[in-house]
Amino acid sequence: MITLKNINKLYDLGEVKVNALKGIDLTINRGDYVSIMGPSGSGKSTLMHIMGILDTPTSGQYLLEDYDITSLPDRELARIRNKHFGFIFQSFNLFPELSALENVMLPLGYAGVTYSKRKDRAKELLAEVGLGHRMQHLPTMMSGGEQQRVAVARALANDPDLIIADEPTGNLPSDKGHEIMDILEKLNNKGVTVVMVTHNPEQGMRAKRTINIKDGLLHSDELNSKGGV
Amino acid sequence: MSNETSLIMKRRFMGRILESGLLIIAVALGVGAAASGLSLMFHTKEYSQNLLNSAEYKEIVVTTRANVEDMTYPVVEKTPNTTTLTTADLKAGEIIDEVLYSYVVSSSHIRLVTEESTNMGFPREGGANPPQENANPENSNGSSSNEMQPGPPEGGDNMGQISEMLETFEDIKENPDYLVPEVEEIEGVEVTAQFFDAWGINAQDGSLFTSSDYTGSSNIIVLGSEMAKTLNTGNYNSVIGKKIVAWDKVYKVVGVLEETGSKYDNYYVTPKKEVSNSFFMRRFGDTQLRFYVDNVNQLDTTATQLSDWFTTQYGEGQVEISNPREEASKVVSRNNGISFLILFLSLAGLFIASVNVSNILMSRSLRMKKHVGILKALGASKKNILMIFVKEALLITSIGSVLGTFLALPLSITMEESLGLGDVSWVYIIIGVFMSSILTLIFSVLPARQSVDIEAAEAMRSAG
Repeated sequence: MITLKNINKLYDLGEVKVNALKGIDLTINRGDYVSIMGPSGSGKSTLMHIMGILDTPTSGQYLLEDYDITSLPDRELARIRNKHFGFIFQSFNLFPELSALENVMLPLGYAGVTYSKRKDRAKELLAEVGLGHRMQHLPTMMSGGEQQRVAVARALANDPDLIIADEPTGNLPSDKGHEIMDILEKLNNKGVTVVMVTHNPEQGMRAKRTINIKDGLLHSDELNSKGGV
Repeated sequence: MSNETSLIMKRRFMGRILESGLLIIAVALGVGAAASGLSLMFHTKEYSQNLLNSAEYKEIVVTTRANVEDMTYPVVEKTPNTTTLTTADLKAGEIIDEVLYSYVVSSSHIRLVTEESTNMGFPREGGANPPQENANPENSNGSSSNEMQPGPPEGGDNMGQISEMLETFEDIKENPDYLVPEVEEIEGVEVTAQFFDAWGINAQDGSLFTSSDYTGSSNIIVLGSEMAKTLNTGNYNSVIGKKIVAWDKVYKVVGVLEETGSKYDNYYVTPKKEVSNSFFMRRFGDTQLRFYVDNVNQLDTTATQLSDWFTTQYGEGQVEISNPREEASKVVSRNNGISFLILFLSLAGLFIASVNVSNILMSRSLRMKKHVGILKALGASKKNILMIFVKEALLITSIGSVLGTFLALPLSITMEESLGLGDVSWVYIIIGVFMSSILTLIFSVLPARQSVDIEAAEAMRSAG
């Protein structure tokens, strides 16, 4: 599904230049459940951002379904993020001005879905993550676990092919973290590709495949025997 | 932009209502000041153009020294007069090429018979004297030569015709052939034929004078547009053919002038009779001969030529020649100076306001940075993001501009009245508002460009 070829990312901070990624080659297959692990500052978040087209590599090739997207115009990239990718962030990143329902409706709007269909779809998704009763609440009135479930519902709004999760349980107590992990596993079982950055080795081992990054280099890439359990 | 994105902006806008209000006020003040400044400049330009193109400032006025007090323009010295100018002297205009029209405009006034004045003694019976062509010399001996119509005569000699026709004032009042004014005196001018050509004035109703009117004995009168309304107390459809009763004669209205925007709207016009009697000619000779020069660049040289001609005719220092152009130029340059200063100050105000608005919007968009990152992740393109900020800037600018328009109106009225430019033009204010709003909008959209171009990943890292 995604093929990264010799991806480099250089952060130019004036006098200091940080080489976050040094020639990463990586392939993510359709239906994969990949955890990306590594110590802080290893470049795993950068890799994830590049994979989600939230950042552009300094050099290298990004093939999506064998198609080089590096030179696509911004409008097309935005469309890919909207229709094919779903993002879940450590800090939820919900809009505090919008209710749970409106937060989920937002990406549907960019996909050109009409208001009433947006609303129906958002209600359906929130009910699926168990928040049918809290749709009109603002994020500030919700617990972290609830907020992250809203974020999951939002990520699923346009039926993405790929879920990109950046430490999705990092800000949650372990029981709430488990809930999120269960949802991700369920999605993967339905055929959605999941790429997750995590610090937690236990969660990392729940994925089918674990990639280790160290100092901007691919350290290891192995299948987990317990993966997909 | 999706509806939910608009909701975010709306709720942020309302959530910071004080800041948003300050932004709008800043825009309103800037736009209001700049719009009135621009409007003033446009208006001054138009006014100057009209002023310099108006017939009044293309006339060279020749007058005898004795009568200089009747001139609008300052004169340095006065010497005892020995010379009298007459309509015959208008031939100077024919000799000098640049003079397009030559004419006489003498101010005069008519004392009308009104209800009030008749109570003070309207002569019911009078002699059978025929109406006099001009003033009774006995009555006019001590008065200025402009005063062609004397006041109510003691003996009632001139009232023969009137009193013969009308037994009482009530007769006039009820007779639809007569205009019964409420004013006791009306002001106007006596002119010779080319006056109408020079000023380009036509009759909107009835007709102007025919050449025989300048020599004949008919008492006809043409009214300015405003004066016609004033005198038409009976609300007749037309005042043409109506009669006006003055103390010395009865006038017949033959025409109403079209609106000129000049003092002549409030004046009446009567034909200047060519007086053949040499005694009257000396005594009541015309004081002001006017020579109309179309090419304004030739005003100075023509004035010199006229001066030479009159010097040859009457000797050195007998006539005064004024060139109104200088006066007009002074007015124009004074107005220009003031309006440019005000324009400069108001544009400076707009600039300062715009920079501040730009600054506040910059900090607003920086606070939106994380939102921008998330929106991009969810599928917003750069254009979508830019539109969010453009819409916000548009909203602030348009509310501010509407308020600014209402602010500009009293400002413009005050400034333009103080410069004597006449009525404020809405068109100029709207143009001014439009121009300054565009400027403010540009300033408001500029900071948004920075927020749009950052990578989503970087934007999301920022706090917010």
